[in-house]
Amino acid sequence: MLELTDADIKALIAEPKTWPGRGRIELRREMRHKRADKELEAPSGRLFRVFIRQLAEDPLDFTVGLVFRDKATGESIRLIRCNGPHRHPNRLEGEMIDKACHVHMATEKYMQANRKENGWAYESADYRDLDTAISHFAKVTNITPIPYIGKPPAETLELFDER
Amino acid sequence: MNVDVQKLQAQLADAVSARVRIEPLGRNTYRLITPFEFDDGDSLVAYMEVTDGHARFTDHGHTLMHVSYDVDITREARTKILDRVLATHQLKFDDGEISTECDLKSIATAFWDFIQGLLRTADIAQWKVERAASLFFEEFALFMEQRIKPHVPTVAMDWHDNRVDESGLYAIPWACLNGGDPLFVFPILTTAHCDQAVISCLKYETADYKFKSFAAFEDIDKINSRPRNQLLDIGTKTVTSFDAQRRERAERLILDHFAR
Repeated sequence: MLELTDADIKALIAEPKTWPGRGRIELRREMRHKRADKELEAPSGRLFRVFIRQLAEDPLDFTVGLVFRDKATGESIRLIRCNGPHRHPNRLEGEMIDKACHVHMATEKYMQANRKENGWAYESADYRDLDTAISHFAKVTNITPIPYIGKPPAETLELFDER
Repeated sequence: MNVDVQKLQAQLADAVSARVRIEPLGRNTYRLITPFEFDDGDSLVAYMEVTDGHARFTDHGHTLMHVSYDVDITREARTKILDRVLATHQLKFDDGEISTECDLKSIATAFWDFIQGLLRTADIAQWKVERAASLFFEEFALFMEQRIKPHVPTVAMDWHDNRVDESGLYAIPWACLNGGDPLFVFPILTTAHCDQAVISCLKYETADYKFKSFAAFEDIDKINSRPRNQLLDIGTKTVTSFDAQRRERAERLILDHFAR
């Protein structure tokens, strides 16, 4: 498994990344959920994958995640994931997030404890649904233009001067 | 119908030897809060519908959605694995939704099977590296059988031409032999497979044997650049991975060879 420090993880998340085109996301139906996946190559040459999922039955059951893929080893690690409002326990801390939007982050602590790297999460009030989660996620992960599903966010309109 | 939630809660908890909470959502629908989790700590999603002495447990498709963060759940061989898991626990599978129905008398057993099925399905994510390796060749064989053979009936496995390779040391994994130049087809998972493909092609090339070659990589980024480049230098057409989109391309490239 990839060995990353917390500083490495933060640097990878913050590394500038470009979403191809103008950021429009086409969700496609797969079984009982909708999904989109996008491979991003940063100017540094590092490879990332963004994945978006939303359950058809429950639109608040969604996730938007960023995976880093190490070219040398082919190994992948989920760096960060914005989740909808549901329960999540932080097992190592003995904390429970109850029915709140939360952001999973990869941490050195969980990796060293042989837990899933992004087993720790923090509660977030920065988004409330999939659309706002995507915008928030893109800002945190330094993706431009801000991707969107329906209407382009103000930042994207400004970038392409389409107002 | 009056449902004794406390009694059901006790039965479900007893079935899985863990604390279970039933939260009413609608008239007959409940969300089940259990301590069972995916590897990243997210809880399994479980709902219960109770009507006329019957219960139905469902995950509304969440389990496979969660697995799909890391795994291509649509690959044929993986679907077969999933079928086996679900059959073991007598669960229904409908376009991603995992469910089971029972009468209230057997609710404990049904719930136990439901949770076991979800946990085993969730564990598919753990198989991704190991299973990807063993499944790749199975999937490739399925692809050749279902998508190529109907159009190119003379497909041979582990083929060799005695005039060039009498002992079969340089066997071609799949050879399409519809008259004209044959097409050698190589599924490549590791650098060793890539090396072997290069060696086999060179053996036939140095014997002035006319052929074309095609390689499907499970993931080209995992292959060392030297044999990868050698394979390309020989003129081999490739697909860089074997996802649904590239399988389409692989099919087109192989069939195009015989359309000329």
